[in-house]
Amino acid sequence: MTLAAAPDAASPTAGPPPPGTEVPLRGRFRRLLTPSILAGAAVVAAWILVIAFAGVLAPYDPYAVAGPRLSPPTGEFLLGTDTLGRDVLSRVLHGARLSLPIALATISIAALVGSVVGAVAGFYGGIVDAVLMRLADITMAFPSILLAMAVAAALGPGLTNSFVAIVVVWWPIYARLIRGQILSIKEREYVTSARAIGMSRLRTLRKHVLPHALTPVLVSATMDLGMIIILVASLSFLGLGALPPSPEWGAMITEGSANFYQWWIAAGPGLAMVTIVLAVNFLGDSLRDVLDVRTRVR
Amino acid sequence: MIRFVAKRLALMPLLLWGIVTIAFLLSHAVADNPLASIVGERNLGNPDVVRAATERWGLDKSLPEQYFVYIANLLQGDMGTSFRTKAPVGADLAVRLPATLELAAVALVFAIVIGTLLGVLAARMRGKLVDGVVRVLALLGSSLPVFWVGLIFLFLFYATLGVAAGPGRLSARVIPPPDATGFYTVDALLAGDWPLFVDAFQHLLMPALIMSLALLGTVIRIVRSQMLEEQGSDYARTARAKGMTRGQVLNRHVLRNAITPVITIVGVSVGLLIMGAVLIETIFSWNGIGTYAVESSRALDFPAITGVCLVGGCIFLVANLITDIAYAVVDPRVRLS
Repeated sequence: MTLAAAPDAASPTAGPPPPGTEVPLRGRFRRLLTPSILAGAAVVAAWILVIAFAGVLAPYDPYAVAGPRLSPPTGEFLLGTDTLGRDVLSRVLHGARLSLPIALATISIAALVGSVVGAVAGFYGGIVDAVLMRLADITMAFPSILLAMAVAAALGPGLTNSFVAIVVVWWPIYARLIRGQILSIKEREYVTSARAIGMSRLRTLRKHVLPHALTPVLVSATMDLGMIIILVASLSFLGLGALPPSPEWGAMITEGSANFYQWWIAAGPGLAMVTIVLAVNFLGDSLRDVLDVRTRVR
Repeated sequence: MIRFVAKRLALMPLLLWGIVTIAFLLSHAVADNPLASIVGERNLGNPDVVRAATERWGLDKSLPEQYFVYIANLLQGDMGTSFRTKAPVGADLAVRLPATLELAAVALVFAIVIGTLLGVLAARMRGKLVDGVVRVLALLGSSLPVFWVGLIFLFLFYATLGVAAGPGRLSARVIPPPDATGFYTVDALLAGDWPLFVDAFQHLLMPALIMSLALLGTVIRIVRSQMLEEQGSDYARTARAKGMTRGQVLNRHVLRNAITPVITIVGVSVGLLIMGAVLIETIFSWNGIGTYAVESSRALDFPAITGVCLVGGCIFLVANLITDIAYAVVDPRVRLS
């Protein structure tokens, strides 16, 4: 893929990029328009609409009794009703308002915290680096679900607490990632040049180092989003996150597992989760292929 | 190599100490009163019972004091006593660990075998429909919430179709084999009880298969990209030029080099396997470390939670170390430092 293949991408005066420069941003965006990315984006867009208009789209009140108890899917109740006679579809749609924003907030804060820690560690080095990275090592030596469970148990159940628990578990991944990036970028010639012409350390970090270090973090955060959606639901499923009567998807699946033969109670929220996670993972996967970020092993 | 291993081994106690300390601090930041899980909600109003329990469990001592007692006991191999089961945590874990290891081992084998086959298939059919299907399959594996899949599969294959074994490690009213290793399949074979082995194995199949789903995607991706990379290498072209068929080159040369990195999966996967264990054991009523962790967390049984974290951390660190060493042994180009 070169600039020449995109007729309107370059102005007439611009020749081919000189060797060693990065692919211009506009060329990159053009490469992003692959069918798999578009398909993933369409599903994500649909869920965003659901979050925005859940109140209008849901046929019933998610917390109120709408019909007979444990009714299998019918024309009236498309995904059936639960133990109290609440409409599963309405609850799934409203549940999107909990599960998805919480997951997004979790990943953003974890990426932010991790990036700041990693950038500070990588750029300043020395004792700061050693202390911060050992802390990251210890956190990562915990099997993530066990640490999240311990934090959630200590804080008590609730969605806010599962958010905190997952941030605590997840930040070191990004800290390590960005530290590695910064260590390699720090030695590049353009950084040396920037420093040589009198740019301050902080300004160099902000202007020349961070922008290049952030792409892998963004891609990996996108790839982790699906995992986080599942993790939030897992904590609720284990009784350590959202509690009934919340229509959070994991909590709904717990209710479904207590009513094993009424499969539709768990089927609705589960299918909802699969569509959004699959779409997000498709996006992340394609994004990584296009941007050619090296697969990280963790 | 030896220096690398020594360095990593030296770092391990530090990491484990960190885990224990964090778990210990968490257990004392608990919002709710752990006494409720020790003496039961009903007895919380009885001052005598509460005082006795507080003294019995050392909860009247200061935080640093409790910490040093805990560490001192730990160094002697004593992980404390569970609030919930009232048994030593070490003994509790020893009983449950084989159940989890058996499940995880079978899941790992499934993931590696199925993942390698699919990865090779995708690489050979690159760009064709099969390749796309495998790619979606790989993504699906990491997109499915395992606890939900477990529930649906149990309903479909066990309750409705009756083709799979139900929850638990053995069928109802089947007596476990005499305890030798704790692995029911191995113990059944040691006892020469073939029907018991079949029963234990059938109960392993579905949970292990679901547990392997999460790893499948990673294995497929690694094998596929390695196959493609190695196919384009000089030695593959030379072998073709000397008259080997494409299939011969792939099987004799490319595949061998391509599957080496699959070893790294073992290290990476431990975290995912532990997560799978927690969720799948809950769904399948599997009496392993996972259910123990969940029940302990729900009961705020912190000696037990700390114990699980410590054992989980040990397994995680050792698995990663073994992975690194194995990788260096298999691929001499890798230099450990």
